[in-house]
Amino acid sequence: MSDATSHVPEDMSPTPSRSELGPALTWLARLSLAGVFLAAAAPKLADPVAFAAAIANYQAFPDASVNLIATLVPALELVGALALLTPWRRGGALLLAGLLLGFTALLAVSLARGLDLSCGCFGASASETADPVSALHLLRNLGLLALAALVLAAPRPAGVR
Amino acid sequence: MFSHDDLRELLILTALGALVGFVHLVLRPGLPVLAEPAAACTLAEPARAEPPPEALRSELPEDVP
Repeated sequence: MSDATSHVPEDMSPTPSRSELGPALTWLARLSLAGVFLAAAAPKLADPVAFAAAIANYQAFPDASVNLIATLVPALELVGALALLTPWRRGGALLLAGLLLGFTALLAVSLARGLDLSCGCFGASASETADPVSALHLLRNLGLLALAALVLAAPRPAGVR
Repeated sequence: MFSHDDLRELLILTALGALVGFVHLVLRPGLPVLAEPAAACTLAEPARAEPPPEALRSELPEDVP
């Protein structure tokens, strides 16, 4: 009696090969990153005044530039997140990685200065003490940066110039 | 590391983001682009005297407002 499993072809095995895993992981990274940034952009676009107040709390920018930043950041997050779902994924990942580097630097400076303030990462909270800035935010940003790096590590899709 | 095409996409997406931001600002006014936050007081206007907290108020004589 022959062993049935010995006739299963190599490509029918349940374990995905390395070449199949790469695109799947990249897709997962793109979807996760896009979801996080869409969720972050929506409340900021809905209430830009509250987001401007959250930025002002960081005491890191000139007062005159706070509103400009509150206008540009959520729009860049939105465009970057949507680009991740298109063939322009590498440009989107670069844009979001740049934003993440800026956010991480701002959080690190605020932590070093001992500021006790709300992150404002997903829009302004109802209470200033909600979601206070902590080292966990830095870790989260590093994780998101790793996802952006994963997207950038994948080759440019064919036909996209 | 990054190709010219990557940087070109980044520039176009950044410009598009700025455009979206300004369109959003125009369609949804309420946040002036370069306005400074309202100051607590100015040189022309003296700071408002705040009443003392209740705990201190109870220690004050009756005729103090």
